[in-house]
Amino acid sequence: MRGRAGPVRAISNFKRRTLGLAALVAALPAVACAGDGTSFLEPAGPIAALQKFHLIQITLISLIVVLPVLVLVPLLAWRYRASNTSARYMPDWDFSHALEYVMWLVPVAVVAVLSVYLWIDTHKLDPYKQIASAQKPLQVEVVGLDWKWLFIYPEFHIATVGQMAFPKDRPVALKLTSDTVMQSFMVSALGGQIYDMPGMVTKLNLQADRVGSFHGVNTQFTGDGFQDQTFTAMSMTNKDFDAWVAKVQKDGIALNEASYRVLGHRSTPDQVHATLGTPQMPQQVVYFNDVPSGFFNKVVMKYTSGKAIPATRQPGAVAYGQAPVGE
Amino acid sequence: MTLTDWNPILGRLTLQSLDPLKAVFDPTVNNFIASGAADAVVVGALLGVVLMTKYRLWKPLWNNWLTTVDHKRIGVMYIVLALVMLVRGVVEAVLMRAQQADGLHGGFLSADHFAQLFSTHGTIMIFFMAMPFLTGLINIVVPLQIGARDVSFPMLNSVSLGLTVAGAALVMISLVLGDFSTGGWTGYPPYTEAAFQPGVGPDYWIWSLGIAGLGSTLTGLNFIVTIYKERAPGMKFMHMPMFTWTALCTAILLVFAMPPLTVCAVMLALDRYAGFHFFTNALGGNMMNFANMLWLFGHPEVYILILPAFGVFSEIVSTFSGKRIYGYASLVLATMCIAVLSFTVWLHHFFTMGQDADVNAAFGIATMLIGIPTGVKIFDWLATIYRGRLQFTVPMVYMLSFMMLFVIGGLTGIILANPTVDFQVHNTLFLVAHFHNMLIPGLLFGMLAGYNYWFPKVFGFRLNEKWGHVSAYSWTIGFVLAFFPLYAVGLMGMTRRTVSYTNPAFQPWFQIALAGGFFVLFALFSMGMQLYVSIRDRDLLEAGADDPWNARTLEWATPSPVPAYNFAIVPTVDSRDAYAMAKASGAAYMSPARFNNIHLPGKTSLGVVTAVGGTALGFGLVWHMWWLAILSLVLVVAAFLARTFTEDEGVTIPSGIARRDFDAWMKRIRPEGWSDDTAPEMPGLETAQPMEHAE
Amino acid sequence: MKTENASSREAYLHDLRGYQTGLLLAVLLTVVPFGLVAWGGLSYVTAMSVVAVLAIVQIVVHVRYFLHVDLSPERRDDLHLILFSALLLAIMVAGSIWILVNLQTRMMMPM
Repeated sequence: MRGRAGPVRAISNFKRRTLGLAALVAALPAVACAGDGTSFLEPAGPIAALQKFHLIQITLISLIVVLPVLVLVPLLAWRYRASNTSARYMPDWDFSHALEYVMWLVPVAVVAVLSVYLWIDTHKLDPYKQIASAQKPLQVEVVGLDWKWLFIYPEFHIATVGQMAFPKDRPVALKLTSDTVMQSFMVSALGGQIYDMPGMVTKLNLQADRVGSFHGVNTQFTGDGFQDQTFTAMSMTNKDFDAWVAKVQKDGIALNEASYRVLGHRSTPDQVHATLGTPQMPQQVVYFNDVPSGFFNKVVMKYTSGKAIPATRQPGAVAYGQAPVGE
Repeated sequence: MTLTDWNPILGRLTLQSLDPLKAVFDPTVNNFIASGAADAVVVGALLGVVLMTKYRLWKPLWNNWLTTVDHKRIGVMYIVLALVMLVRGVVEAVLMRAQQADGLHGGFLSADHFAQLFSTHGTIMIFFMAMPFLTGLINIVVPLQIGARDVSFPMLNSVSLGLTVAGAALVMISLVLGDFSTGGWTGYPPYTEAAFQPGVGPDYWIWSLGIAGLGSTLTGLNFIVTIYKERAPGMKFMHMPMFTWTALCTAILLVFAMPPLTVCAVMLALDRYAGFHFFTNALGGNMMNFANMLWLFGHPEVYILILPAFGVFSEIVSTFSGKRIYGYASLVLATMCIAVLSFTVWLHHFFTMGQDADVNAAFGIATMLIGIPTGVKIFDWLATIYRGRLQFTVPMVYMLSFMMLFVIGGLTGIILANPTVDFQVHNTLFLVAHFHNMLIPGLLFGMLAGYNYWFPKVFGFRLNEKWGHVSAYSWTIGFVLAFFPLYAVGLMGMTRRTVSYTNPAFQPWFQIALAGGFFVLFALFSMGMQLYVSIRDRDLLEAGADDPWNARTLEWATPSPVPAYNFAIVPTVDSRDAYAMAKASGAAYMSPARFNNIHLPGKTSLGVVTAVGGTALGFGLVWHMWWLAILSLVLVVAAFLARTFTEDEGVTIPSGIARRDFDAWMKRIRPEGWSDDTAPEMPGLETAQPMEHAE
Repeated sequence: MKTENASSREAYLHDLRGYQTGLLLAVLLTVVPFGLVAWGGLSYVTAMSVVAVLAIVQIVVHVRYFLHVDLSPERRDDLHLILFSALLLAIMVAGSIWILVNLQTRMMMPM
């Protein structure tokens, strides 16, 4: 006794699946309206724009192999359904040289083309690669903490939590490390992500080609406050950027051992603003001035010095700060 | 962890560890859910004990199931474990969907609970649902398909099951005592190091995976040897059915891929327990080494998960198209290519860790290369349907859904293989949607199709088709609704493993995804109904269960349910599709001249000892109850040593029993008017067209 | 009877010779690395390379003389399995070294 699915079920099966796929395609425009500044689907810089282009290019080329399957499955299943006795039945036909050539060589060709693009584009968009520009890059050093980002501008001896401002049309050269656990830094509207890890320095190069505010996140899970480890990346005109630097220098507090120890606790930008912030600083943001040179390097070298770091002195650890000061 | 929290007998177990009491200490919605889950486990276990005692099932359970070395029964137990854990995994998934549907307003789950949910969900679905399911199918089917009486190492087979059960038990216990890891199923340090997670969570993760992983490695060994050594006379490699080929490649992958996982888990354990510095921040630790080792395991692992499903689909498309499988040699070659290539791509799981463009591009190209043999397989299956006679049975419905949905997952895989785009979508819900797109239509539909396909062979009655169709459609709709929105939301910038979000544009997508979750719950319910109705109507469904699908391979050349010795006479084989050939020539209905006594290996309690001992060892290590860990280890080792001193006399099946079973079976399947004097050239059951040859 | 004894004695001697050769080579391939390191006359890199190469040679010796996997047609299946295993291990080891060395250079603090 065989299954009784028959033609009626077969039709509803195909209808349903085709409808589902059609719905997905129809929904694509809605995806693009993601909300300003959160996604590379609305790129705000050259890197993100290239990444969006790659996404579309790869998808279209791959469809050469994917679309035939999506068409052939319902077509063949319908035509060769058991009740359709007019279709030829060849139970022992199991090989065709021509078909073998097509089956193997078409995917090989598609992958070969994609591979060439992949090789070239991966080299073009290496995160460590400086963005070609007439202007000198703005150096920003990023320290990932639980659950906030600290941005240090060594040139100006300022730092911020929760906000990274920079001039538009000028490359931003980031050096990243973490002072807690493995994290991943991303401003999707501008470019891709890079991991930041304790004792190590990674690099990322970004650039915005318009003024705006963009959403920055950590994508590597770090605990209870992970979803709050966000910040705003703001690209501005040169004039506005200079004004911003001046404001931070004026309104900032000192970044020293005491204030950094507050940052080292497991807390969100909101909580840090509540502890360290002043009314002159925006919500969820803290400004620091008087940042000593080499602050970033000191954070990195903590882990490569060959000395042990007890849990009481490890930012992000459960026991952090539980020992009396000075220990 | 301070010394004051530890006592020599209870280790670090305290009253706070009791999860049923969470709602008592702090009554929030979140804690009611947590305590409810804990209570469900306790009540479920007690209910099980009560029912077993009431219906006097302990003795039969021990004699017929727990101590058996029969590969078919071991396979059934694996699948029972998988189905039970599937229920838990789906419930966790629906909880997460519900949380994210409400995530714009913070939801109802605490961040910590959510993190445990995504960690247990991944761990359970991969190690305690998918692996046992495929191991179970391979156990049941492969020895039968190669015409063997059992696997090469029957006792080891039982021990492998025991190790898997021990791991699953630890994960279930984590619902009642203490908390599971919040570091995801991948458990990356330094987040999972003692400084950041001093509690029991990561230890549960380490030991449940570590112990179960040993079982999987041994299964791999067992099946490589079995397929090499136990094939019926005349069955060359190129005569083996496709499911056996994929099982062989899966077994090879298991042997090579599991050790890196065991090693990095043990290294993490040494960091946590003995103050080592393999992956710590300071003193020379290298967390990138963990990622490298985990994915050396993790990538072949996903091919371990998918290859058996591909094997199932090969069998199904051939049987339900009424045709020889198209392109057998290509399929074999493609399977071998996939197996080897699966070891060359692991870096694509951490493109964003900081390697240079040469490394990233090399691994990206290798990743796309695997798409080629996978595509060939799909085309081969389509060519099998071409000029076939397709029957829309439940397994075939799963297969048609699989073919369409899996290529979409393949497309997103090619997208992810490109480092430039991966830099954007890594660790977003786009990635989550991609791998579920491979695992659900791929692995899960393959397993469910195999379950529906081989159920009659194992139990002697067919499954109800109507509820089977309902569950297949519900799974398909549920999957599409639950995961396609995640592609959208991932592209829009939503990170994975996030308990809440602030972008209102995400919410409608999550609401659709939650609807999908409800369809999946209904699919599970339908599977339960299918089983209930089938058992209720089993007398009606017994007809034709020996060979309900007019199938082609040797496992069908047996009565249903299959007797302990599999084949009364070990078959001689000289072609592929051995049973189809035998039916066509009439050899399938001939009685042998004589029957011999059949000798089978005896039962063993070592599987149970391993399960109990393994659970106790893991539990002791997690809770720092050193006496328990040492004692259980010593007892398990002693049990194995004791076995080396015993002679296994085994069991002898008298030839009369074999003859009686054979005759009863022949009576059911012989065509009308058969007699033993009939010439061997008599046509078989099919009323097919005359044979046509390849163009 | 006599020929049976003679041929089984021949077989025994043949096996014995194989094991003797294998043991001798294994011992040599162990003593030489120890000796080289004890002597200390080679640079670190050279010494490690020599030890590694001799270790691989010793693996081949064990496989040939103790596991009896040689190039004869009867042992072809076993040989394929061993070569296949070696291929996978080589990919995993070489790949990991390439990756980790590359990562190390990319993670270093810029001067």
